[in-house]
Amino acid sequence: MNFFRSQTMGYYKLIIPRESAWNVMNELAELDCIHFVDYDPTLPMINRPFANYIKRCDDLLVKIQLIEHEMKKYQKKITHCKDVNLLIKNFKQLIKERSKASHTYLDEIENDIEKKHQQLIEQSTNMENLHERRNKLIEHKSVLLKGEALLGQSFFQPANYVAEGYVNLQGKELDDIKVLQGSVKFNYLVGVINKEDQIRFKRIIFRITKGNAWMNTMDIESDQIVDTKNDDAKIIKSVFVVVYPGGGGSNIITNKLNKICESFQVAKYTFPENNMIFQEKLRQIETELVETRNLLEMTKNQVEAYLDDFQRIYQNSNCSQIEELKLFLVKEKYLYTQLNYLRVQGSVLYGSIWLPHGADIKVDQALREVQTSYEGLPTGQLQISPPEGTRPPPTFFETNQVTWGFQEIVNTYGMPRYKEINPGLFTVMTFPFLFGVMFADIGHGFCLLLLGLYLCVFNKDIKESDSILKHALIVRHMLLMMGVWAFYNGWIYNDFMSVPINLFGSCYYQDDEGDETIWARKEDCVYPFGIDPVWLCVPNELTFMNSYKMKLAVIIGVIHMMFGIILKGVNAIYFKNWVDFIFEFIPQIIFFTCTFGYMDFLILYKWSENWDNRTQDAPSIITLMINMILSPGNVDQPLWGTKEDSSEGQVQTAMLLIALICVPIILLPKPLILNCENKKKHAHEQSNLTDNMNKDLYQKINEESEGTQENSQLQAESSGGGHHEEFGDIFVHQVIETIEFVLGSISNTASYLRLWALSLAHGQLAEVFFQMCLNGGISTGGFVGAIRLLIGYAIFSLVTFGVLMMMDVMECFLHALRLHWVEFQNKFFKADGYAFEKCSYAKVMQDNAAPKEE
Amino acid sequence: MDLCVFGVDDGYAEAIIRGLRASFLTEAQYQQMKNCASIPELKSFLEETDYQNCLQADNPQIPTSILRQRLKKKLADEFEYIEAQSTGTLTKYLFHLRCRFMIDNVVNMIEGLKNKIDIEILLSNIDPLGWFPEIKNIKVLEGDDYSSLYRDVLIDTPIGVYFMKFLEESIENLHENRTLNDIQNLFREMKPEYIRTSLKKMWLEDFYLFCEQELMPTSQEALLELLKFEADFKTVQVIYNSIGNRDLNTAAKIITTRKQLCPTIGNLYPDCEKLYLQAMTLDALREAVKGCDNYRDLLKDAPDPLKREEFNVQTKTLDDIMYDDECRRYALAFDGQGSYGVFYSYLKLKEQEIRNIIWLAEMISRKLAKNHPGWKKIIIPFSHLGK
Repeated sequence: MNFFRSQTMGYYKLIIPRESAWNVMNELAELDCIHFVDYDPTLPMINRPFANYIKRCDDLLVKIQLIEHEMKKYQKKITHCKDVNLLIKNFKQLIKERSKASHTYLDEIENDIEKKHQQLIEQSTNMENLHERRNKLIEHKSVLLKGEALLGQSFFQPANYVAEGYVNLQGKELDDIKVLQGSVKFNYLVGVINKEDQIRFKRIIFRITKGNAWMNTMDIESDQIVDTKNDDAKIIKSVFVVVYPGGGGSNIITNKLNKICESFQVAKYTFPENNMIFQEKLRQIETELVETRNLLEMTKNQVEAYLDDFQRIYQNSNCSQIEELKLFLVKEKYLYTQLNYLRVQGSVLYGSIWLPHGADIKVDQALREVQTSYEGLPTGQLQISPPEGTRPPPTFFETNQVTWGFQEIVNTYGMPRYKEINPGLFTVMTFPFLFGVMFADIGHGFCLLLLGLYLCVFNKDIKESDSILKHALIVRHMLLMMGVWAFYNGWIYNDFMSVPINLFGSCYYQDDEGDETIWARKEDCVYPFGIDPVWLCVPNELTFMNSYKMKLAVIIGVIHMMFGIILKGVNAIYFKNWVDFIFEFIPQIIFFTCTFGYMDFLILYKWSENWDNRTQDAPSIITLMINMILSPGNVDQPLWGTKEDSSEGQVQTAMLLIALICVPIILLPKPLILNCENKKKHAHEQSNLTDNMNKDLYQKINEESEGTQENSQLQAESSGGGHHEEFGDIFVHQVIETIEFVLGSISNTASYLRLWALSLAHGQLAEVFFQMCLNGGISTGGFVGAIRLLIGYAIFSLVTFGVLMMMDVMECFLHALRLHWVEFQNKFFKADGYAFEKCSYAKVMQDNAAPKEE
Repeated sequence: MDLCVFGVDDGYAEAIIRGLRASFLTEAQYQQMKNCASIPELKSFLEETDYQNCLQADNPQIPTSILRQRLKKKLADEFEYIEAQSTGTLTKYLFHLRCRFMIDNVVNMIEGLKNKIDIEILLSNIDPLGWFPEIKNIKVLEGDDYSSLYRDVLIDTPIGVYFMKFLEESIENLHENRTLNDIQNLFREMKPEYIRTSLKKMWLEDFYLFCEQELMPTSQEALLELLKFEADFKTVQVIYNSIGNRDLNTAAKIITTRKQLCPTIGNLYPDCEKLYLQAMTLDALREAVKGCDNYRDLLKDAPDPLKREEFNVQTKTLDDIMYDDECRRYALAFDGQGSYGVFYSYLKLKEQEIRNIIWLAEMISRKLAKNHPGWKKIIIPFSHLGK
């Protein structure tokens, strides 16, 4: 019954000596069954005793991340861990084999990682430096080559200039300058600049020299210079040459230009003066380039070898070394986080835990194991204790692969209160069913069924593969069941993608009566299962189907909601809440039966009656219900008996009266009783107050309690005080509940009409697609028809897949969800519990083992 | 009308700003910060707030200057993102906002170079909000040759306009038959602080004009109000700081300087101009601004500038009082709907927050006692709204 009501929890005290804290915790975390209670949730994590360890783990994790980043850069693939349990076992084995204290393994790993990280950083700075050098060389080479291209060889031949003088270079071309070269001395400036700065540089040069300079630039082939600081992005640089008249007053200009160059952080190079030096230089750079390239290659190999080490999978392991380290750190961090939930007093750690029923034996065993396996270490103790504080026990359900998804649907709305009936149990069945009612279609349902079957049967294979369907695996049972019910309901509605199937032979035949063709029924023929396919061919198909589906929806809805109300009664009995049972559950169920239960009865009665040859006498159910409210006792068209003597009028009146009487019963007694009880309790407490105070004082002296404990007591007192609600509050609350129930019973019933509406929408969409895409082709026939069919089918299949199989599935899913959350669960579900969070290595490690999706 | 179409172009940017509202530290968080015992503790606290990502890479014993730089960088990044997401007028508007920081940067650079501080240090200290590519070229500045600085470097930059105006004005103010020497002397004696104030005044006036001419009425309404107050605060500050200032020895000089530095917008201009220009004591200044209730109240608590030497940490200076009042205004403007005032307020309030954090960091690093009055000297954005 662990799924019907949550597991029984026990509150225990855990006492661990500090020196064995690590070992005990390590053992306990492997059990996967302990919920640690934080002793003071207001205390920030940084101020707790083990925060230091957590910080260390965090720092190491950051370092590991850096290494991983580096590995990614060198395209080393990391093998991620698929099964962490093996790893946990390995760690345990490893630590046991060491002779030193177990928790010091972290130190070892820390040293190891830090060392390797350091080395890696060294290597990468090495790489960076080499790159830098290479960049420089490439730049220099480009300066030589481009400079030559820009200026031409002849420019740097030693020239016999005649005089120094002022020359205006504004607007002059290089050729003009060359002509002038014989007469005036020119200075030149050659260097490399970032391409993005180029224009600004040009402008500033222009302004400083007052236009009296010639400048040109040329880009360096972009793929050579690597920006190591920015993840090896490529940067574009260009070579520039500035020629300006030298001598005379141009020293100032030279100064200024130098300053500008500095501020732009450009690299200046000297250009060799004659061809021989030029060639020499070029050769020299070439050789140096080759040298650096070799060095780079070597360093790269070193780094790679290094990273290979991290990538390797050691024996007995199932993942890369780096992954193993990471998971170890994650585990260690988790351990210390859990330890932080315990209070440290002296050399002992006190903690409070929740254990599911029966788990205490496991914990005891684990504690004993610590003593046996680590000799000389004191072990922890488990003591049963009454719960402290006001927080109720956590809610814990053991789920399996089938129920997990449905429980998740319930949990998304709210965690069930401890020991409350779990709606998840019923959701397992009702959810796929209600979905099926809306998605009712033999064809589409079958497709869904196939998908579900495929996922269930090939579960293992898909899990191993990289298929997208991997993510759907977790809900495969839900899909299967949804498919089954959609398929089944499709048969009930006899609807195969808008075409009914004539499986048993229709009960109607066409009868020519003069000009008109009418459908006549065969004697005593009833279509055995589902709807007679003949309804497709008649003009009032939609009217008939709508009325049928609508009524079905209401019947299902009323049953579903009544069930919800009954669960409320069961809950009240379980919690021994007799006030709720007598003054809420009983009047509510009577009210509901008398109104909507009666309506269901009318519908069923009308269906079971034979209206042949007197169809005009059949009353409309809606009119009946409306008249029941508006003019009770008057029945124009009775469902049974004749108009003169029918008991229907009396029955109606009686039902209405009973329902009306129920309303004040829901409304009034409960708040009055609660108020009475509160008063009694209050009076009782006042007499006890003095006793309590003495007790408090005694406790304080006895326990030398710290601030935190006082806090929790204060909290307990204040929340205890919260129970003294004012009568007004209670009453208003009850008024709201009553109104919600009475009005809700109407609106919720109406809400179940979505079962009809969505099925109608589905059917109509399917029909439209069929008519538009296929029907034309089929009815034309011949070659043209075949072509039309070919094209039509392509569109039909796409639209069916996209609109009906994807969108409509989602829509029906959401509506089924809503029906459960709102219409069903609001009848009984409190949903104010909190989850049992078991302390588990496997979970936290598995979460971290999965590669992050980017 | 403009409320209807505000979201068309600027809705996204506004939405982001509104979202960033959640990143402001709360009063409780300030309390926690005050309880930090050391810088590493403060850092690890900040890592749990919105500042998490910008601090992670640093070592725990982070110097305050770097801390400031990091915090500012984060603000600048946010601002840059919003600027990139904006179009049309909003882009122009946001750019205008950034000009203020550019002015600060340029003046800081000039000041640093004058004091022969290494350019690398200066570059690492510039406010990322006011970064522009030409800033590193300020290095060309030789001596006090501001005009060639303008001509060579600043002419292309967004703040070149202000700089030019500033140069023109300063030269015009010299006597008629000026020589080149006079001009050079003028610049040599000029204090960077003076340049900053004048440039900012010009910027403020220009920004005011921009808001008046190009923005939609709702934005105008919010912004002009804020800018008027800002201008008034500037005026009051200038007057206040010039009272008893030894550098300005003659009355005539005080008045001309004041006239140059006081913005020509705001609630005080031009009605009270005559009065405040001639105010030589705090009381006279109070008298001059008494037309506006608000300023009178503010000045009521301000300490007398003539007793400047007696000020200590406990004194609530005029700046503190004004920041406090501004903070309230910005918080109010931040909650205004459909106006560009949000961006302005956000920037100002975040600046205040950074100032607070840095202040606290300083206090913590000096290990001052917890009952030291300095701990109370922070102005928490949005704390005024609760009251």
